[in-house]
Amino acid sequence: MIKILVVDDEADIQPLFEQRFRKEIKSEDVSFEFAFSGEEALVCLDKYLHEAVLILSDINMPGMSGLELLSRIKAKHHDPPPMVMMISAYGDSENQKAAMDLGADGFISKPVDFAVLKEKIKALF
Amino acid sequence: MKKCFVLFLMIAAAGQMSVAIAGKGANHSVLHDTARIAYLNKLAEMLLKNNYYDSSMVYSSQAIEISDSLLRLSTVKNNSIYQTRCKMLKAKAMANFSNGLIYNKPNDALDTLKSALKLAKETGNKSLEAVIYADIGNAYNSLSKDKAALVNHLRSVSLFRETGSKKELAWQLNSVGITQRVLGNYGDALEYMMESLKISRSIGDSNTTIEALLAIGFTYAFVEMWDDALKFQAQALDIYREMNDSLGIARIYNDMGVTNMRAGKLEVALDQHKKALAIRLKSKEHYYTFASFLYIGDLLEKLNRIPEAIQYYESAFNYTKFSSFRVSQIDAGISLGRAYQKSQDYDKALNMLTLAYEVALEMDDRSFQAQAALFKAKVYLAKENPRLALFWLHNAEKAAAESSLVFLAEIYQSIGETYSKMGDFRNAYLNQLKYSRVKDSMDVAENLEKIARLSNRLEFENKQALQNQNHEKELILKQAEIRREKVTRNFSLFGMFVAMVLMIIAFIRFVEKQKLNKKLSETLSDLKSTQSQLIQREKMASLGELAAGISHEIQNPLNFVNNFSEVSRELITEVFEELSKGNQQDAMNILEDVKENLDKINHHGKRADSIIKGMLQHSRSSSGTKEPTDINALADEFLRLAYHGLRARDKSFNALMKTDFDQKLGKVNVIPQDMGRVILNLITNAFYAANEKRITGKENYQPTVQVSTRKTKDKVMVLVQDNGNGIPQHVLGKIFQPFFTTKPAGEGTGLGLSMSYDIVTKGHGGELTVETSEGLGTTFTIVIPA
Repeated sequence: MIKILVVDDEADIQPLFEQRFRKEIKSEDVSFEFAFSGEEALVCLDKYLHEAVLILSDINMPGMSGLELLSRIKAKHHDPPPMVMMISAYGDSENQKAAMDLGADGFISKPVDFAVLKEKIKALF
Repeated sequence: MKKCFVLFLMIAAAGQMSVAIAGKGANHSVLHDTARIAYLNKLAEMLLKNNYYDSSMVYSSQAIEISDSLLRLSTVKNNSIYQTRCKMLKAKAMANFSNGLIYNKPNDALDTLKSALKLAKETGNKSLEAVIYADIGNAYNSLSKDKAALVNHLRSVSLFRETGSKKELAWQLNSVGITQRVLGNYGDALEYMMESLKISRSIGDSNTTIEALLAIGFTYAFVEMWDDALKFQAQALDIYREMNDSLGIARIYNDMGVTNMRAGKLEVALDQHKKALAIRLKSKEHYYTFASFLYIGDLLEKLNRIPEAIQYYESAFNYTKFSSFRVSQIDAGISLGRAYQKSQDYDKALNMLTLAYEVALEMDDRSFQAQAALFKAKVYLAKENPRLALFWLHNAEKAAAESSLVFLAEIYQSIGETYSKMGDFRNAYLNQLKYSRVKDSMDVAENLEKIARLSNRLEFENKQALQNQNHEKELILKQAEIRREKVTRNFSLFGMFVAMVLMIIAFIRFVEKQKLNKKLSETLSDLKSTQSQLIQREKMASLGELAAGISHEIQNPLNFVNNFSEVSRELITEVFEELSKGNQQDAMNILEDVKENLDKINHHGKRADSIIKGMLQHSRSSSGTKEPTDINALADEFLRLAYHGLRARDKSFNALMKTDFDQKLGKVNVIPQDMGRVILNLITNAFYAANEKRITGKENYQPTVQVSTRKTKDKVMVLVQDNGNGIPQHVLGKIFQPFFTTKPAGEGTGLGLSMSYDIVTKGHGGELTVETSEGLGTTFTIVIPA
């Protein structure tokens, strides 16, 4: 089972993901955790380090931004580093490049196409 | 020559006196020593008048030393007359010493003058006190602290009025006038200068009369009333002619030349500067001869007579060898370089400009470095060498960072054009953008200047009208006197004549008043239209800041609307599947989810709707009517918009947003567009301040902006708090003034806080206050009636 940590400051992201992935959750292929800020995500991550974790993080968040979260994760956890996929506004190539430079494992544009997201997750594991 | 000889004799006598005094009795020695100090003071004063500052300081410090030793003597301590005399002499010596320092170390001069003033006050001698106040005023003038200078010159004036010393009073009145002019108060300036002129004329003091006439002339020139300016300068010229003072005559010719040049009468200006030059060439005064050559070169260049201009610039440049002013060398070098370029003599142009650039580097004068570099770039452009041109343009850009906007605009435009010639369109575009930004700031600065000019002119004309009226009153009184005399002689005939004169005067006054009224109303409408343009500009600037935030903020709810509707559609299919299988309970569970999703779709739809409405409200003119408004929602919305707006403009920007809303607030009666503008402005400033501190790289710093609301019995408060660097105390008093901004050129209009202040206080009968702590942050508080 893959543990996915979703990081976004919009609270409604939780019911959306839970409904979009309801079949996968039911069949226990994936399970989700949610954090609503970069700071919360770092705390959360420490708990699940022993599991195969994928982090899906928004970039534009108040406080610690998604890019900062990404660089902190990659700096702190080396062995093996958790997968991090960034989510941000459509056409934001500048952030996309910055995320890739910081070692992101993928990039998804908003609005999220859940079919594509599922494909990308499959390809990663 | 004569002056030098007198000085020489005095210096020799000073030496003799010190020998003569040794070995006399106590009282005798005090008398002689005070006489010697008085003599040294006189000598120092004369040296000052002849610009021998260092020697003057040597003699005044001797005078201070002797007076100090006298003040320590018991003979002096026990004798109040001696003591007062010694203190007076010491104060005078200290004042002389400071006047020697005033140009090189004005701050030190000021300190010494303040001690001298204390001493003078102890002696109770008003004249001395007045003289020292005047010197303090001059020291503040040198430090460009003109308001402080004004206060001290005015004190000096009132003391001189008390003591009745007319000559000094006239001189000081002129100093007050000049300081008022520097402060932009042209009307007041004129009043003081006119009084100075009246007094100096009445006592026959030619020097002060000339200074007052020239000061009045310059004041008229400042408000672009060229004919009046020239009229007063011509009067000064007549006095110098009577005095047969040729250098004085040359001085006025130069002044009149400058006035005519500014008035656009280039040929007349040229003729006047040439007359001045002819006189100066006979003298041995190098600096002003250099300046006359330069003036003429400049005029010829403006008249496009380049070969002649080059001749004069070359002569000016030759004179810089004599001059100890290195700035002159840069000035002449740049002018000459520019003229050589115009005559396509590129090598000579480059030589000159290189020399000017190097001297400017040595002197660390960034403005001149930028000028020389820009002209070098222009030569390289003319030589079709864009790479070297670009190199010099970038040098000019670096140096011009603190220079004038006009200059910076020219540099960016040239850089843009050069890149475009080189086919690098991206950089060409980027520099064109920089150019437009600087140009925008220039427009704002120009508008500001226009307003200042118009209001100064308005004030000036008012004062002038008032003076004319006074003058007319005097005229009428004189006429009345004449009438009384003549009536006794021939009552009927002259009586009628005088009545006619009075009628004509009254008629002229009526016509003038009409004209003045017309002018006043025109000026007022000009002011109003400029003001409304500026307000519109500020509104559009803040809308621009919002645009990126708005698109981000609308995108999020729209994504939710799309996603939740898609997923609900899938869920409905599942409901049908479950029902067909007979699993009614499962179908019911899924339908619960669908119901929740529909609520969410509705919620996010409304969210997008309110953002668009908010944007429209912000850009629309204010309705001016108060309506019940949810201040918490308004503040929350603008906090997010401002945040995302700044993020979109600067990817590196980040800050923590915190809110602490008082849920008891309810709806408050405000003009929503206006209050929104105030809140947005305060939040944008708070983010800016926090981000500025972040950029300085302070460790463990988390930029944070908090918006809170509070409700008391009869008041509602909105607090916008940042943890930036705080506002320095010296600018705190100015932040609500229009056009005051600490942001770099092109980034702020300087109208945000002043408009906010007006909206809160005038529009809502509330208060806008600020609390700041340097290094820790700032809190702005809006308080309005509930």
